[in-house]
Amino acid sequence: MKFLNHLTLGQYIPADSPVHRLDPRCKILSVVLLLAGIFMMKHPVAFIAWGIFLLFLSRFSRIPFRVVIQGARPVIILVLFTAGIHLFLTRGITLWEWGPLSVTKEGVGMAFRMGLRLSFLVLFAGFLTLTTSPMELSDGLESLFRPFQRFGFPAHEMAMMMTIALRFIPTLFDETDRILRAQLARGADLDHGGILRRMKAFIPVLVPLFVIVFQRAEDLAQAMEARCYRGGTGRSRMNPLRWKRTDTFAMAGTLVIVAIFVLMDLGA
Amino acid sequence: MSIRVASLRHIYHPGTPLETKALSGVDLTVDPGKWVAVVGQTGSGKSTLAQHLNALLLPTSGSVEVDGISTTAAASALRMVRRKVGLVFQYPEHQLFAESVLEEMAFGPRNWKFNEEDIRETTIRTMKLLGLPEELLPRSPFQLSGGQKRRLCIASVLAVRPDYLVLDEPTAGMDAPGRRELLGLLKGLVKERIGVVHITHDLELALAMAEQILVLEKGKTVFCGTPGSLMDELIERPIRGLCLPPILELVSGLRDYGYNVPFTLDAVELADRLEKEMRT
Amino acid sequence: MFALRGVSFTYPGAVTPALGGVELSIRNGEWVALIGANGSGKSTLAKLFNALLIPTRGDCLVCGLKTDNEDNLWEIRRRVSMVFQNPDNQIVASVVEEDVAFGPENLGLPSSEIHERVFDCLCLVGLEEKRRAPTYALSGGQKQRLAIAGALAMQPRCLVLDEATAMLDPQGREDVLKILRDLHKRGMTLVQITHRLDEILDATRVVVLGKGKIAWAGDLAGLFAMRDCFNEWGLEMPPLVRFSRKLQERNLLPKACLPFVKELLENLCP
Repeated sequence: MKFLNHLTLGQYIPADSPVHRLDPRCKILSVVLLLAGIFMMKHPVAFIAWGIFLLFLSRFSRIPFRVVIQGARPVIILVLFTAGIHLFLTRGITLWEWGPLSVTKEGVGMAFRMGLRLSFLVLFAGFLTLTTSPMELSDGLESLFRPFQRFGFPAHEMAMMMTIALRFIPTLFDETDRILRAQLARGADLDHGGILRRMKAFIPVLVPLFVIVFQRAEDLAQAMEARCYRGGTGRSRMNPLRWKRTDTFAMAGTLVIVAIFVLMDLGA
Repeated sequence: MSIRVASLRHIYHPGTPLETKALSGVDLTVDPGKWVAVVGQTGSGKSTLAQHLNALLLPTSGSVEVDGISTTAAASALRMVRRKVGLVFQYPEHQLFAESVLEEMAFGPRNWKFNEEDIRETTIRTMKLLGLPEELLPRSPFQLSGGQKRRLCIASVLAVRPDYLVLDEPTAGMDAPGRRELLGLLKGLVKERIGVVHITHDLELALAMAEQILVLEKGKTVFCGTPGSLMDELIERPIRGLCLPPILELVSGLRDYGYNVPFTLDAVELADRLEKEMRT
Repeated sequence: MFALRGVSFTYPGAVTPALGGVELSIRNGEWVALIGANGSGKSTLAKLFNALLIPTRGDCLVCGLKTDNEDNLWEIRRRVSMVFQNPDNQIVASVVEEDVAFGPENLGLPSSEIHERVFDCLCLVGLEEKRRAPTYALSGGQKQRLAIAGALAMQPRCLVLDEATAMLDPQGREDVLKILRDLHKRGMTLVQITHRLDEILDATRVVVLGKGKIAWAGDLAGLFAMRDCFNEWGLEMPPLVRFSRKLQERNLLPKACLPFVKELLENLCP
């Protein structure tokens, strides 16, 4: 009866696979390409092709397919909601009617398409976080955004913020869980009454959480300072990013696959 | 009337790769007015046990009964159990939230639908029990000293007048005077017929405070009995997951040498007895 | 290593100073235990050593460098590393070795040297097998050992531990103390802040703080020979100290015998 479970979030799973070894920049750019491709997908054949590619990717990155699906669980509601909206709000040939609600033939198609599109988006994006450690991910982003630093974009700070946020997500989930339990033990009733009452009931959870977050932030800032942190200048990396031949191949491969899929979709 | 834990087992995340057996077959009885210590290392399952006592966790198998009410019974019974068994988590000052000490104290009683007059009376009474002066009532709980915060948290749990109090490492991070004061106050609760369950990894503290000690290791009971019999047993054979307090190690060494000294935590008593032995 | 001359410190907005007129010097290779009750100013003093706080009055010198000079900060923090109380609040990265690398990366060291330092330090604290483990999955004791590894990766001359064992269980505490003993043997200067007297039995010198002032300083034998002061300092005398003192009073134990089980048994059971 754990109230919150951080393991359902798409978290890094260390493994030794070709996908894990790719440069994070390559993975970020590839995912952007893939997502663009998925946005364009329309035809059932394309869906099947993308599905097969997903299975292949899971195999290739040594992440069990079950884990890939698990990572997408938190967004199931969003997917169902989007699909539902399309199911009921698309105009066309009516198949079924009940009061103000009507389901059309086009609606069913749209619901399927949007639902699958959204699921695929999440599943493919999930590979990025599943196969890339938070540190690599932020290094990759920092490096990709570095050209914009000239225009005042704080690339390093953003990346550092991301590293820390990812590091503290599990800790804060545990902390929230503990405070929740503590207040439940004091008789707090968190799941009865209207929305307003429930929101009020969460104050005893939120206030301590804020206090702890601020305390942690202060402690962490001090600990970082003590370890000679003074921003991005003069900092080196233990594993500097190195763009390898395989990255170029992977990038080109992704481009070709996306192009084929899109063309196939248009042609069908 | 007592808390009865019978062959309690608890498994976290059953059926997943993260499956862990936190407790496998634990029995325990806590009577009102008794101090029971649960001792074990990190990961021994002592905190899991603590949360079972007031139905924050439910058994995978086995049973937990509080004054005859099973924690797996209906939801109304479950609330009854939470009311009867107060649970104070480790570092409880991390759950303070209210604008004033009074509000903090009133949180529990209001959740259990006490009337306002009752709340004021019970608040002042419990604060006195924990050595907190009435003048603190309008102050912000965040302004109190570390020791006061800790005592306020315990008082806020006691304010609903539970029959049992479960304390997870109540003296963690406190210095000697603060610890002594708090333990003295808690000892007073036992006189008020409250059953105390003291979860700790400090064997010396448990030996000094408790009337009964349960030692857990990796979710299993490795010892359950009085402090006296635990000391006897510790001298006989090492108990997994426990290290001998230095003074008992000394006693053990002295006895091996042939001095007839008692197993005691009391340094002065030991010195006196040893002196007698050495003079004869 | 350290020289504090008439150091006072008052937190911004506070009326009473946290430290007042502290005179203290610590030599290379010493293991100094800083003890005192909560609120005695121990942690404040610890943060002065590493220039996280700058004295409001007086001078704090680290290896001859004054901490109030901005230009020295970098050099001082390289030489003096800190380990804090809450292990969770000092780990920056999600993977063990990446966290150890954080300090050396800040120094701008080349990748090969960082790898070397990370591996050496993880071995020193016995976490080399957890190299790729996620940091959140470590136990409290392991997290604290990781924090020590992170501090050591700076290759400091001195390690300051601010109540680093307060949140650990006996096993975790013993693990940390073992590492400290090891480091001391290798010549590391250690400043250990604690309120538990049973943890300081390896210290070469003890400094007692009370109400922001140095209440007493000397060696362990001297500390345990002090009378009636423990209560005043807010410290608890370990049972073995009480025991050996009683026997020393009655001349059954030599005055020089320290209150350790081994030493006591050697003296009492010849």
